[in-house]
Amino acid sequence: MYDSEPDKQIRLERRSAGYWRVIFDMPPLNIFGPQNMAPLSAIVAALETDKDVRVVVFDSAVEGFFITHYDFLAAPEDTLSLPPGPTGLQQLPDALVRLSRAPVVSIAKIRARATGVGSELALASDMRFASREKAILSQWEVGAGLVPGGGPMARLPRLIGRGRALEVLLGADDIPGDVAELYGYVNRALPDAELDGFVDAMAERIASFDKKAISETKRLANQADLPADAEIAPEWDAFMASLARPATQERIKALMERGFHKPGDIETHLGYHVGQLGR
Amino acid sequence: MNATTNPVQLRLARTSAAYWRVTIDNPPVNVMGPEMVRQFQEIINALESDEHVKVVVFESAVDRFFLNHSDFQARLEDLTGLPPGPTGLPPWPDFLVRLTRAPVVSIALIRGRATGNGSEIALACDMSFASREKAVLSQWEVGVGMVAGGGPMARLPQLIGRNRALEVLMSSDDISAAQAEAYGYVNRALPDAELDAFVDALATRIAGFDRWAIANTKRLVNTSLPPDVELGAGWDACIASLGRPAAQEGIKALIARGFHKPGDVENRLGYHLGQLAR
Repeated sequence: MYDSEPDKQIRLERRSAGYWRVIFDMPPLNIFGPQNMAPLSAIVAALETDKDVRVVVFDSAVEGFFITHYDFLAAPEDTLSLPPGPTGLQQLPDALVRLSRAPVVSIAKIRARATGVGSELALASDMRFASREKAILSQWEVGAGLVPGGGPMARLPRLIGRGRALEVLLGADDIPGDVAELYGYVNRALPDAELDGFVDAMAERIASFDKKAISETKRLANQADLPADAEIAPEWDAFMASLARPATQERIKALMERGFHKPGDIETHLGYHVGQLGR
Repeated sequence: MNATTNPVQLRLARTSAAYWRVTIDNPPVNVMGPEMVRQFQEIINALESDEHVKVVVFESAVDRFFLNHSDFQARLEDLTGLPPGPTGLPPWPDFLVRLTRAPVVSIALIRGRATGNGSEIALACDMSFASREKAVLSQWEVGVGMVAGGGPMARLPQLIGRNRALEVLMSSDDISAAQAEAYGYVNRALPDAELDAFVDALATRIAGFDRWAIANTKRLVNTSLPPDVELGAGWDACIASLGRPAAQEGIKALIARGFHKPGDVENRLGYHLGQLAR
């Protein structure tokens, strides 16, 4: 299913003691599955405890995909058997809330599709920069009869306002870079040719700053506006409940028959295709 | 024309079992009087009790007006005498909070002025799309000495930020569609020629989705809503403000200049409010 080994799929690169990069490399589609949970959690633990790191950039090595949806071909037990994380939340929401509170600035650099889990990782990051031409963000889940599980119902309204959050969540469509910027879903949508340079310059700048000043400022900003874990927790439960419903299983099956989980138009234009399911 | 003589002011049409449209039709200027408030109650009762509806679009049949301010020529007792709704709130805030919580996606299609009540219904809807050329939003109330009664003090700051919310509420000015989009007051301002097709396509798309997924996703988004008691407090402040001589004089002065009739005061209410005290 993946073209690379599990331990090479999420790579941690230390540019310097203060500036780390995390590269997602699960070709061909950067689908996020149960085998990716523990490595992601381990990276978050390193971010929480390392005394030098000040900034981490999340990036992808796979053309066309930042991170896309969850792995629906994995055996359900592979997900259900995972123990909760240190916060008591299930592994994915646990890693995301810990990332949002870690004493490290997290930057999602989005050059391609950030769908479902990809969007949720971006939302848990402190800031998001996207390629104007190539970035597509989406919370596709409602289009397949699912409820998103990784926190967007708590995060998006605070970030972009209830009206635009509901358009993203209930329209379940592909949001291109320019609209994502208009809405505030990403901080900025930059010309593709400028994206790497901009994010790198930002990361280098922050890596040169005092770690305590960074972490205290982030902690206080979080007090003002971060959702409580108690608001995030029910989303995973609703996701798992929705996954079990026959109506949802039928929609996922229909998507699979059309090429879901394989390179092709379904994955590249997922927003369009979920809109065709109910007709 | 007397606003109260139009019997059916809200028309419900079922494009499909899952996709409904409500057309606001009280010409000439789409004021909201006690009868329209009563008819909004019927609409929300139908939305809550139907098992198939997934999306409702609110639009207007009246040229230049999506939904306008209240009818100050109606008897106040006809409005305040309406029984509270099921939430215990008076019927207008009751309708608004029930719409916000309903397991149905609500979309405001704004072509024309959304003044006072019109802005409030847009804020209670899940999303709103405006005509770039023709839509205008306003919370005009402070400009006439009133406090807005349908929840914008509770909703706007979270939606567009405190600074912009206070600008909208305190200036009581007309907010163009382009400015509303820039502020996030509406989701988007679309070219007028594209607005209907865009909203119809989005509503049709949502009508094909799974109702349980829609309802539970919306429910989880709603956990960050202001509590209903904030809307109740806003309504009480509105009624109290209406009784004050300052508001009564302001409304009287506006009516003398043509308020409630087609014309410049209604079309450019923001400008005329700024002229009242000069």
